[in-house]
Amino acid sequence: MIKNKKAGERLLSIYLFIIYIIVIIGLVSGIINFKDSSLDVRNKEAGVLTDKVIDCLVEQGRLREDFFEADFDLIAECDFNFKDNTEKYLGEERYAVRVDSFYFENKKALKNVEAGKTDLLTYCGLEGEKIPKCNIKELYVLDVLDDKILLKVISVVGKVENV
Amino acid sequence: MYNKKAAIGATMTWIVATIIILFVIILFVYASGAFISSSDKSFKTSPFNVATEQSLLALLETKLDGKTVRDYIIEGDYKTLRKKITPILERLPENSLKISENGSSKVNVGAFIALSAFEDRGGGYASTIYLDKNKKIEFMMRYVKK
Repeated sequence: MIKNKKAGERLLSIYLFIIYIIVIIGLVSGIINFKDSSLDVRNKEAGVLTDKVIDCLVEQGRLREDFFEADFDLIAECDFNFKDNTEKYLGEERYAVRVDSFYFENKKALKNVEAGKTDLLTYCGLEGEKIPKCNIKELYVLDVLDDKILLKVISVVGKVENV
Repeated sequence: MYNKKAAIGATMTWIVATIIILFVIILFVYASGAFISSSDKSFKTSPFNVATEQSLLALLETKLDGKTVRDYIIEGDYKTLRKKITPILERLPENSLKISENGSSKVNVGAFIALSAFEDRGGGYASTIYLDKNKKIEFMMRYVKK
């Protein structure tokens, strides 16, 4: 009688062991599924960068005065650092910004400023996973002389190798 | 004999339990895989409306025949304001300007549609400024003129 009971328990423990294995395989497969799934935040990153540029150049609806100076350096003036210091890029620039200003009335170009890895700007308008992501915003501003200006800010985030 | 029968019963129960657990696990793994492939892998965060806000601030400071838009609103000369501000708004990316006083609409220029409709059409943000307790200025704008 005792022997039979032991045999029954042994048989059941095999099933229990199999169930543990199944549950572990299930958990590991689920985790691997999520771990391998990439989350592309480049669109949002480009949007935040555009907002930061606008925030730096425009105050109370007025474009800062030194924007029109010949030696205006966007990176230095806005305290940006476009270098990606992660292991993959080792200080390489993965961002680009272009600011175009136009006369509001006739859309005649006033001045444009570019900063960062400007080759990336050529990808704007193209669609695809392995294509750098762009964010474009236009806004209406005034200069110090109350002239109406249309400002167009384009930000691009590269990092296509991560996708 | 009796003991043996009991062991068979318990074993059968565990076999069925194993099959059910296996089925549930496979279902969960498959569902998680399907969920990942179907979901939008980008963040959906609330928009930061710095472009719209700065445009609205610039609009308020814009001089129309010697007087700023802000002055027109303070004086309550909405009829003249509507006439003079429309050409400016038409040159901007798709937008709408609504000025209300004590809750009643005084100026309603542009395609004043719900913000969600702007978002469906590629994104646009709203900004609101109160000139005093009673005068509310709402401005919505798309990012880019299309």
